[in-house]
Amino acid sequence: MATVKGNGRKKRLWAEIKGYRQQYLMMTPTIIMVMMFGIYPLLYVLYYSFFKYDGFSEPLFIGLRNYVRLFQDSTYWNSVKNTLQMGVAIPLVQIPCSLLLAVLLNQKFRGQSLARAVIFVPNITSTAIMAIVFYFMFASYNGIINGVLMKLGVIDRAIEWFGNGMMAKTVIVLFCTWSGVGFYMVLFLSALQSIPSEVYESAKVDGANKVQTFFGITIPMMGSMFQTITALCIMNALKLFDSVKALTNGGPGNSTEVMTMYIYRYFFETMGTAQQGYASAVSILSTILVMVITLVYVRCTRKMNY
Amino acid sequence: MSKRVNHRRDMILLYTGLAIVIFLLIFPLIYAVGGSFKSTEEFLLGGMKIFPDIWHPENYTKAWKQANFARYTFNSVFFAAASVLGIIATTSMTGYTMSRCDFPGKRILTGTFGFMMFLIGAVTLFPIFQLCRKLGLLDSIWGMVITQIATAQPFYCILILGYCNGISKEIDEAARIDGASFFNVYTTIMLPIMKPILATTGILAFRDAWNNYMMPLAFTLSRSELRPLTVGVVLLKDQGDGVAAWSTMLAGTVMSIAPILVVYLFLNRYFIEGITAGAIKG
Repeated sequence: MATVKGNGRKKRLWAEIKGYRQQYLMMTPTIIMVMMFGIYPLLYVLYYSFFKYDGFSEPLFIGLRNYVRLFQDSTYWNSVKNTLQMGVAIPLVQIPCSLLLAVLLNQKFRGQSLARAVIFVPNITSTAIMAIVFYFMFASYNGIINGVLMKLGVIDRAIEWFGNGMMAKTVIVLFCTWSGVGFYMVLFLSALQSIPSEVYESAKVDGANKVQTFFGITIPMMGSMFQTITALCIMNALKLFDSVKALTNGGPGNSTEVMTMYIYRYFFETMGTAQQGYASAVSILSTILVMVITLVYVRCTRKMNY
Repeated sequence: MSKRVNHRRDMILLYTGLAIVIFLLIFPLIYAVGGSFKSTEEFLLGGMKIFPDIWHPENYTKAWKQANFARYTFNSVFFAAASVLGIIATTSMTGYTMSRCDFPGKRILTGTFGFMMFLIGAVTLFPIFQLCRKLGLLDSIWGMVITQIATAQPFYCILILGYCNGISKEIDEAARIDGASFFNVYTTIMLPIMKPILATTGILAFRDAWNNYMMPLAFTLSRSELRPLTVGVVLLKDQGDGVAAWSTMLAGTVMSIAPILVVYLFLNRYFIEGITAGAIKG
């Protein structure tokens, strides 16, 4: 009886699938590509995380040993620490800046759309390429930043911007703010524009000042949009690669190395002595870390949803 | 009367604030352009000068000829153009279908898309690299093109899906009743209506491909003749010749940024609308 029922359901499903033949055909390129370039690589990484594998010779099953090594690998945890610092520092600078700009641009004034278009410009330029330009600007002996600061008398000796981890990280945060502020501003702007203007009118009637209106109405009314944008910002900061790679290449030492660079290095840069098995384990753990952090953030800020 | 004055003061503050912000944001670009015309000696002197005393346009010809930038530029253009065409062709079909039909497996597909957006790029890069090697795709730009198209699927499918949800279903249902097949409705009726979102997709996809760095870097580690501009320029920084190549490098920097700025100059509306639409859906 049960099998007959199962057969019937199978038949119905089959008929349904057949009815969508043309639709499936149209989606075939996407489905094949997602399977080959999305699902297969993930399974590959998961599988080889249990193997000792260098990409060429026979993989050797070693159980959880890659993961054990990973938990003892202080270089990895150093990169995790750096990633987390970036994940906190970058949004802390980026979000207020872009929110402030969005509030400014939400006013009606001449040249508003021009200003929006110009502020967005850094976002369309290549992160890797512009990181090089920042590298020149912050060069210690002949960079223009030191030049200006010395001329203004703010400092009397050239600052070694890439001399220690703290300074190098500051430059990375500045660079990320420069390249991302326009992007998040555009997002915030669309969130602000979704707030009905009557709300502001009534706040004005009630005698609220601008600061009160901002924290009492604007932020709560953006609700889930605010949460989505900040979550996106955090996630992007955790996934940082291009900017760090081109700006500091992890240096000085490995004081600015981030998780993505660590993964990349073990997969690609140790050619010959590459450790794909170990890199796979690093990948799995790092992916889980990014997901958990983002989800925890979303959870913790859920009460902001109205 | 006092309100008027207040308003005026606010406006002055607003314009001054925006002017400072815009100056800070545009400054690196101006600095790159100025530096690209300096001789290496002048550039190394440093100081506060943005533009050179003596202009050296030959930095550009040097970069174009000696540093292989002609090749890099061709690669970048080919890579970006082919990726854009591929992405538009595939995601418009999938996005439209997902918007209109409740086919079995739709939820799995949506879930996979969602998960793929979480992924760190570096994680799946190596298996993809191996896959392309086995398929013999690493000997040409096509390996990079296909990878670019494939990894862009989730974002653009969902972007187009969202746009199609906003188009009344009555339009295509009427055509279906008249006997047109699903595919015919897509090509003759929907594609023209979808033009704005296809333009947005094309532009954002162009930006992504043109600026992509990590994937082309890995794919061209041992194949310098396939490198796009981003990889070529950054590599100059890490190469041994060090400061000697700085002015060439800045010329390369400007050469790689200029094309996308020109595109943006004419089509910035689509960029910003695309970003907004994508965020609301995501």
